[in-house]
Amino acid sequence: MTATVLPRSGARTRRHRVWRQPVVVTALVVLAAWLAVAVLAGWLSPYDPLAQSADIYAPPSAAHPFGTDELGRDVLSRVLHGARLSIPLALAIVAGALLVGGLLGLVAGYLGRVADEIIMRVTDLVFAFPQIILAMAVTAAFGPSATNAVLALVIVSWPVYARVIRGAVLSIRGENYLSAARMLGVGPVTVLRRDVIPNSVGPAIVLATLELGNAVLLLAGLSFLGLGPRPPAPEWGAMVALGSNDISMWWVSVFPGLAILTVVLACNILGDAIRDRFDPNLVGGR
Amino acid sequence: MSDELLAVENLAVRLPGPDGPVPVLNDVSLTVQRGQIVGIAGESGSGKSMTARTLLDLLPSGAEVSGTLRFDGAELDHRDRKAMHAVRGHGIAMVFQDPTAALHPMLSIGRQLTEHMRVHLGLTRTQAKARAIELLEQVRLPDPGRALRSYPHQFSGGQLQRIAIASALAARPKLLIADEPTTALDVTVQAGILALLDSLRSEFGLSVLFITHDLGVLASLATHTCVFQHGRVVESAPTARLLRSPGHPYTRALLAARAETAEVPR
Amino acid sequence: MSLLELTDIAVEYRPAGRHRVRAVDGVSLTVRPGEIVGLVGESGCGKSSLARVAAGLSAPAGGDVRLRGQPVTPLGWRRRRRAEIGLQMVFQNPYSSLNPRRTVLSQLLDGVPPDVGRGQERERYALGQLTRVGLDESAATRFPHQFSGGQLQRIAIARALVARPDVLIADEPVTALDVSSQAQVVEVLSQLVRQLEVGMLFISHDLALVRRLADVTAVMYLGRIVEAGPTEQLWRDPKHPYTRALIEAIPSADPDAGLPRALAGEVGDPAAVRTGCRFRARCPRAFAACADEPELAGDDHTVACWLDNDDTGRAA
Repeated sequence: MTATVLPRSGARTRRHRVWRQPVVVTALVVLAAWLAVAVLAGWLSPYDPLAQSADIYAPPSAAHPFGTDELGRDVLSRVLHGARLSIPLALAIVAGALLVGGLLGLVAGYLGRVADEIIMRVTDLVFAFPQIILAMAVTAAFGPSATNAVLALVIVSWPVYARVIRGAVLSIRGENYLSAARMLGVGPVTVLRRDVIPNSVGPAIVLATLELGNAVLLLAGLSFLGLGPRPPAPEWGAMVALGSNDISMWWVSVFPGLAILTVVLACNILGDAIRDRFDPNLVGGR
Repeated sequence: MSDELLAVENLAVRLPGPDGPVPVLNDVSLTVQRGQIVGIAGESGSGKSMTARTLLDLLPSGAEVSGTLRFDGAELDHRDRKAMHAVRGHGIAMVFQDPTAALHPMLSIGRQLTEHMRVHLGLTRTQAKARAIELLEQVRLPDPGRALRSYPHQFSGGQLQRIAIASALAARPKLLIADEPTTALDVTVQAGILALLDSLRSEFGLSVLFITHDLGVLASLATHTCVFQHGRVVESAPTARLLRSPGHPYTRALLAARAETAEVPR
Repeated sequence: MSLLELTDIAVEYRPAGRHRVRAVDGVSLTVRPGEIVGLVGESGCGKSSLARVAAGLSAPAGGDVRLRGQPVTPLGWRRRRRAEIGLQMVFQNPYSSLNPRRTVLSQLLDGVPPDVGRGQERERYALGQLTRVGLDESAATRFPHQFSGGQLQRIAIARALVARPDVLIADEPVTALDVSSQAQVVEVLSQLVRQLEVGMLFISHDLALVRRLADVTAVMYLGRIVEAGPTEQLWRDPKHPYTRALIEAIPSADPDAGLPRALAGEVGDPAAVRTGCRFRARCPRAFAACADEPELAGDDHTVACWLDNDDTGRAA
């Protein structure tokens, strides 16, 4: 390279190109649609999601596009209301886990030594159990409820974030700009905030997006086992569980299953897109 | 010229870019005689490494190449993948600035040297081992037998560069392309590598295309030197003449920058 | 008066599962205002470990570092004391010297002293340092990836200048750069030292570069200084065989000079237990006396070699 500043014409276009891919656009539309559904479930639903009727196990028809379940409840209304329940809960799980794991990961990576040793052994301990089993144990201890399910799932999922953030912090700990800032008299906490965190959260944010789908799945799993939000709350996982008793009434579980599938897929695609976006060399364009 | 080993004539290379093809080499011509060391000098981005890549067919896909390449008496068609591949395997070998890049960190030196020879030259295990020891002796690595059992991390940068050279010589290439082989090394170690290349040339008739940013390295090593700037050869002359009376302003600038930072009046 | 004083510095580290290694073993150096002290040695000689200790980035295993007579304590979990901020460093890798996610200006502002004022004045002060290293003010709003290595290194120098340094530690500041940017950065550094009367410890493996810049040169081999003296004197009359070997290994652009002379062997393993002179194994002139370790001796031009000793030198 010569000493002149070479304009990186590719930077801006590349940054925007990620968001122009049809798959990513579709994923964004799907997620936006589910968010809208969560907000507008009351207006969109043709029936009360809890209202029972004599018309049980009705296959999809004009009156009940997604059919009805064992208690004659409208599956469409329940799926729509389920978004209102599942999506905020999943968000709460991811946010909680990111916060707890992120903080502990930062401490472990930046302080090192004893703090690192302790935090990493605790993550090992949590990792040693299958997530769902541990979550079951916690909810069983606290009693099944939506709040406890979220709590349990935060407890089982924070270690991933702690590990990822710790790794990211360790990878930049030797960077000279940290030493340079400290040498200029910037306090360690400010360095942490301005130099360490912005350069190490990237992978965790990507992970969080990917994990959002996982959280929906885990929550559904807990509900499926009867440890999530209490029935008759329209939780997607619980609805799938209900329908799985008799596969011939496929609509009872397939529609909430599809809801889970679309959210999980959209989150994963979005996570990948954000990962592509998280290249510091694309910050600020040309 | 029966002594000609490599001739590059009017080589031009364009690489695909976001706004159409970007020319990286323009009208490059150079010749390497048998048993001769030819220097290519220039700063990064001048096209000196790109020339080496073209010779070794290591250009990214979509590159547009024009011009004539002649190697060992035969015209090379750069579009003929098979012919280029054969040349890369047997006729031309390369060493890089970072010797660790050419060596697998988890395999012993012996395994890396012999496996290559057994696959590509069809040698038996014992033949390959004998040849590996011979090669390590040629590059003046102390205790070759023990070196074969060692792993890359057990050697210093200078020793690794010697091993990389040994590995490059395994297939008895006619031309060795050395791309900044001493840039990452300390001066005392660099001096050793330069002496090694010079003795490989005089003892075994090896031809070398030596790429560097430092004209001083070429002074007593290369018979002929080409100075590259912006993808062109701006000056090409016998090294002594080029250093004594540089004709192109860029050559003069390179020498002057050197005089400021590095030249030592003795 | 000496600005920066390193006394009998030792640096040790412990590779996983192995014995302690003494990377720096009793090095003393002083840097005066407006003086450039060059420290040369091959990779692995301990010069970078010494740089980190000199800059107060890591703690020495022994000895002490004083800036204007005040002890420099290694960075811990506190903010650096105002007085210690006079000690600044320029690193080898320009690409890791700046936070990729912050603008140049924001990083320059980190070091603006509190007495400069606020807001606009601070910004103007920071921009002033940027122009001082030969960069345009418009560079301030950009991000590091938009610059070449040489420009980044000049920004890193500007950042150090913002803090009004007394002493600059430059650890191989141009090794990663192209020849033409090397010349520019070296030019900027030497001008600053003369104009601002700061002291500089310039660390490099490139003896020729040090010769051009430094007033005083110290040559380091395996954790010890083997020769030190006024640059020209050391260059014209190198006393230690190692210094001589280093000088002879520099390639010359003179086509009649012949190939640079190679030094036998490799820099020894710093972890190996060693007796006597450290350079003995590679020294072309080693003799009986070298079984004992020579001390650095001499007034202005010091050398640690038995050949230079009146008693033993005659025996050689």
